[in-house]
Amino acid sequence: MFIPEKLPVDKKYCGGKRGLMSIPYRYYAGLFLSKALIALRDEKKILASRCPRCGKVFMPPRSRCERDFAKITELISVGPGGVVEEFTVVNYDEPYFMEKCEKMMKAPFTMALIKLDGADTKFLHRVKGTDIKHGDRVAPKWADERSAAITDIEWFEKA
Amino acid sequence: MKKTRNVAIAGVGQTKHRGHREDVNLAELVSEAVEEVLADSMVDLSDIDAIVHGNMELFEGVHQPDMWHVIADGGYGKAGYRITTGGTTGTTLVSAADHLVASGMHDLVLAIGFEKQEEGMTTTGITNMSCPLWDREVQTGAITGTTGVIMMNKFGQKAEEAAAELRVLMATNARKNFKAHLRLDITRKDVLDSRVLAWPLRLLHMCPESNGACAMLFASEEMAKKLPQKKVWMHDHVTIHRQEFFDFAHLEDLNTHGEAARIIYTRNGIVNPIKQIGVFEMYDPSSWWALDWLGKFLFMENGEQIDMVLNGDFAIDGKFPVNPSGGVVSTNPIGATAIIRVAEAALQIRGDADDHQVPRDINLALASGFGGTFWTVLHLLGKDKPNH
Ligand SMILES: [Zn+2]
Repeated sequence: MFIPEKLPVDKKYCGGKRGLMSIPYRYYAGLFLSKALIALRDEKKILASRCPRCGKVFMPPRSRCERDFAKITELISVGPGGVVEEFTVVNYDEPYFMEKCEKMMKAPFTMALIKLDGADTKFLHRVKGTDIKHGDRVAPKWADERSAAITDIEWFEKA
Repeated sequence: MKKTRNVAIAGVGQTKHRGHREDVNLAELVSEAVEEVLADSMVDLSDIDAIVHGNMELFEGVHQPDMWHVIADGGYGKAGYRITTGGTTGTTLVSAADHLVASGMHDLVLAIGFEKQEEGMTTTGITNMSCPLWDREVQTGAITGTTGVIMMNKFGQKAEEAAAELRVLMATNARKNFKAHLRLDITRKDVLDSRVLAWPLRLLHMCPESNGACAMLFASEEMAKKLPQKKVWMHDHVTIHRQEFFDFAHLEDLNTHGEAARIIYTRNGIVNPIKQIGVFEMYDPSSWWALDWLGKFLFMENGEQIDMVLNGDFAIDGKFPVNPSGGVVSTNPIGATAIIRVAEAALQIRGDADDHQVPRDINLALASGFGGTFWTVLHLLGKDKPNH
């Protein structure tokens, strides 16, 4: 239940109101990280960033190393396959999300932290189905229509 | 203010403030300012103990930006604090960093204020600040002409000329500051011919929406001795909050600026602010407010500041320089706006303000922050250590 239908419950003695806060925004990826988004769209390629100081490979790509503050300027190809490191099964369709968000997946499905081949960090995505174990190898299912967004990969599935 | 130990400003960093920064994301914008403060202070990030981080709530639609900005501000493994007090955020960041060092908790604290206004809609944040029951549905944003009406009723046409002249002065100053957002070449006539927003407030009187970040490093006296950059000392600060209903017609009842100034002057032996204070970086959201507030900060009950404006007394080389940086009407990345006031005041004391440097020695500088509804944070900085 995302907006209480009746508020207050006791209309005779308790006043109140309900509403919906709407927060419009646009978010710029910046020139460097745009390259990784555009590679998803145009080349079906997953790009991670590599720290010039400590060599850590960030996926999702970052433009600064959180450990040593080095400015990162190198993007390298990782995956497309990877390993499920942690996961949880989603069994509930939140009505608010189903109504308001594009490209929601219908439950049940799995959400997983996936370590792509060649990356040092894990990233979050959906995995089709619920029969998932720690250590399963997965590969991306690319969307036919892509818009330079993480959802250009519709989900991962067992490889 | 009684302090356990002295606190010095050990470095400042600012991005260039611009209307469009599509080339960087929010986190990258913040790291530009951090990179510059590290270079200015010649301090290694690993020596910094804590980060105080702030902007306006909801303006970019990011919840808890302090959390994920660890990827961009060097906060990994350090103590982190988030401050968000509306327009005053930047000056409150400075107050908090000062407290953290003065208390003995930390020796080196980095304060970061930022805003990327092109990414959000300020009205989202501003309307949700009011009481959900009584004000939220009926209030509007931050544009009000009431101060102008009051001043024109009291002082006549001269006030309108002075508000326009003050805007021209800010533009003149901003053109000397390459980091300022609006560096306009305008005349009094341009201001008076610009579109009316809420009479007599016109478009050119009002601050812009900017993208930018500002970072400052605060050090304990012991730590400061070891650091190479010229020091500026935190002398005193005061915060006056007074949340009231939106009674814009009786602003004199909400004189938090005057109250803050009275406390700062009394505690620090300032009997003649114009003589004793070398520069004032004032939070001026509009030139009408600036004109009124100069009177509040300087205790001019009969509008003497109006003549001073028309006389050029607030110019960089005038009697009492105000906003050599170009002020808020030239540059307004809100979460950074108030910390920029303190940073610019510190640069003036150091003599490092380049083309917008006040051409004389500055021993004391004042910096103010303003937020809605009508509260003030006022900082006094000095070239020498405070005596207390
Ligand atoms: Zn690194």
